[in-house]
Amino acid sequence: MASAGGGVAVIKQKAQRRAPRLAAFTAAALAIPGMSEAEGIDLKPENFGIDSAYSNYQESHGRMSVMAIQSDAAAQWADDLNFKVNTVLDYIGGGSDPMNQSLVGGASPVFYWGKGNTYGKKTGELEYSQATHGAYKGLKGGIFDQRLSVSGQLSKKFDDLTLGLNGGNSTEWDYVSNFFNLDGTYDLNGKNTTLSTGFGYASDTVWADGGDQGQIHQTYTNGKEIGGNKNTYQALLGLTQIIDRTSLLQANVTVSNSSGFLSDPYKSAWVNNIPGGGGFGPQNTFCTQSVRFSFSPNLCADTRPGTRTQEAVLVRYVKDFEELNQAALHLDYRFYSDSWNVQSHTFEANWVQPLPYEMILSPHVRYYTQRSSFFYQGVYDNPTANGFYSSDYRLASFGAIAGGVSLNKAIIPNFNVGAGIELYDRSQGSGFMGGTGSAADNYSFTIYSVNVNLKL
Amino acid sequence: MGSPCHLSLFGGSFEELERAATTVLEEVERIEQRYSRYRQDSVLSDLNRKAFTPQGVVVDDEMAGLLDYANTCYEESDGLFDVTSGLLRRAWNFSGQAVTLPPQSTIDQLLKRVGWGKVIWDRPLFRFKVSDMELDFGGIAKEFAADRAVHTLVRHGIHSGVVNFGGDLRVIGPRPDGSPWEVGIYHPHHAGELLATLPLHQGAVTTSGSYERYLEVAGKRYSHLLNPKTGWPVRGLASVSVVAPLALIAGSASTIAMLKGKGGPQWLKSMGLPALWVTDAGKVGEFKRPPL
Amino acid sequence: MRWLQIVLFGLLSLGFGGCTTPVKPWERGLLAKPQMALTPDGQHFNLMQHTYLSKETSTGGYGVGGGGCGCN
Repeated sequence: MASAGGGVAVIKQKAQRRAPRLAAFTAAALAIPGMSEAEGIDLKPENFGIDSAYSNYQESHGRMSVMAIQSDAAAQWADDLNFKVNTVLDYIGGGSDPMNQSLVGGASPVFYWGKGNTYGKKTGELEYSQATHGAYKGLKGGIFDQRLSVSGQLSKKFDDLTLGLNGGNSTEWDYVSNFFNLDGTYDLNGKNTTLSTGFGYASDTVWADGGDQGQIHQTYTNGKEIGGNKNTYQALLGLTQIIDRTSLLQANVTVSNSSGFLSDPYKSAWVNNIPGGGGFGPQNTFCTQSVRFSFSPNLCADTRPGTRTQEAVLVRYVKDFEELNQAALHLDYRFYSDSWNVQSHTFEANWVQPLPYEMILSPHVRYYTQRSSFFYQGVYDNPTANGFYSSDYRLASFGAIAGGVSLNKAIIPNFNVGAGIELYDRSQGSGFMGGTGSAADNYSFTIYSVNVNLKL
Repeated sequence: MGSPCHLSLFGGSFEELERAATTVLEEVERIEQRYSRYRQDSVLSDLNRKAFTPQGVVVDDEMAGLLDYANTCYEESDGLFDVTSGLLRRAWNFSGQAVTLPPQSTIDQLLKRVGWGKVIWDRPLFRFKVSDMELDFGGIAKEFAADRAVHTLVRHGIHSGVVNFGGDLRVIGPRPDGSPWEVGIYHPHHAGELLATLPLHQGAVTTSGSYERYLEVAGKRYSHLLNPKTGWPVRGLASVSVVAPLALIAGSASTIAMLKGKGGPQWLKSMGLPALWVTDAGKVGEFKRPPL
Repeated sequence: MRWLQIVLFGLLSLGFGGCTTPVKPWERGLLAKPQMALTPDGQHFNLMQHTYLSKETSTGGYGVGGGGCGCN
């Protein structure tokens, strides 16, 4: 607020910048005893915010661990222009310490042993054999990978219309993705209804890291490099409707189409009853084999269709409970379906509870169930007619129960810290969609995270 | 004050808020007591009684400040905003069911006693040059009270809230989470419908309009805002809303724009404040202040 | 199951018309609170969505964009 002396000088300066007519009014008004001016209604000072989070992901049985550092910075000019930069840096490894690159640890499984294998393994037994680079003893190794994703977004508000543009790049030792998307929202009914639309495009290149941080690319036995390009187009249409002063509902429909190399570059599947019988050595000519897993003719490289169309419908409901310190309940339901015959249901409930001392507690639970893709098998009894093979646990049928809680505290009004924990348990038996899956794929993970948020 | 007044405050403890609200109400009472033309014992009524004397009246600092402000309004509005024009309301009955327009002779008689030019304002001395004149702070006191209320609240440590005196709104500060207050402006021609919503972090927004108080005679509408030079209601604009750092300035600006009628938008542009207006015909216009 | 999605969306759209109360701008205090935002914690949301996408095969519904990943 203006105080005598210095304050008055500042106001005079400001007044001179104004139109002379307004300056006359302002001077006369401020001369009345007991009147003082607000900071003025010039362009709001730039708002600037930084959010940073560190999280540590640990999967059961030492399968995989990830350390992720997220940093987002946002700036706002006037009332209508926003700019944001997001970065994510992931360190991915096996075992419990993703940063320890000498550690030989587990990885996401590569294939399941089939019957009649000459290695003494039980049918359906999981083989952790995904080696990516560096020294590895025999067939064991860990995933070692780094991912850096940087994206920027710009959005501008025009009365009831807001347009946004977002683009960026994500690079790993075995994957590069370049993407951009456009989105728009339009407010109607006195901002009680909002229509939203979006369009996205991503151009990716994927290969199998054979060493030297991805400089070396693994190949198939026919000499062709594993991997290829992938193009994805996405579109979204959404409606958000305020129901009353304490609740709102959102419904979104998204459609996506991918084409190109959609298979997993590291995984293979075991196929029984191959033509030409078994035996040691590369006698497999009926399906593609990766060099790394050509030691057995029963192994076929993960081969999936070259196109995939995906659709999802999401419904979200948010309700505020004034009497509970304005706590909010969030309920989400998403139905998903794609052209690989995968379907899934996701149910999520989130409770955001403001507490005394500027703290917020957020527990949440999630239930997920999916049906396997039409070409998925843990182990193939026979070669397939369509030539598709995948025993990737992510295309199996399963259910997953997850839950977590986070606590945030505003230390001073502009500075917030928080910590949270997420637990997730995936099991083949807890789904209800039918389809194929294997209990050997069951695992769980835990994520510990801490975050820091600053507003300037 | 004659109109409903609301305070929306966000602050610390309930006791603090209560204390602050009580102090504000006392201040608003004080202003009403001093400047209300309805009160016989107000400082304003006293001045009205004593100002037509050879020695005039010596006024205190606050009254002097308001008179200086009234003078600025008069000059900057080319004489349309005139605190001596209150007398003209005697010819027009805007609350009742008048069937006829007042006779021109009544208006002419009143015009003889209206005009800031008929006043001697030589701070701190105030004199009427003509007898039976009357000062009316109707277009100033309420807005002044709103700004004083905010000043008081800020001194009490309240930095978030809104003061709403009969539709004249002054923001104390943004919401506790930093987001702006969303102010709704009603459409003058469609009852109950919103014309626009303005997000305000600070400052004031006032609306002057002819759609709430008016006279209808033989199918024609006569606004309650009277031109002090002619004594007749103004035409041209149905409502004007102005955003300014102070409620006092916003209030004067929206009133003057209405008084200017068709010349209102042009005048608003010369003020350089964000403004929204609707003409009698229903055309909506706005002036967005260019960024500095 | 495309028909299911169309029906769902249609039903929801109809539902919007019937049981909503228009909220005036000055009544939006609660709706503007951070805990009422559709995504209260954007950064955590991004982390979890990326994790779920890596471990499950479903995607979409929340928005478009963002890049792909090897997600192994």
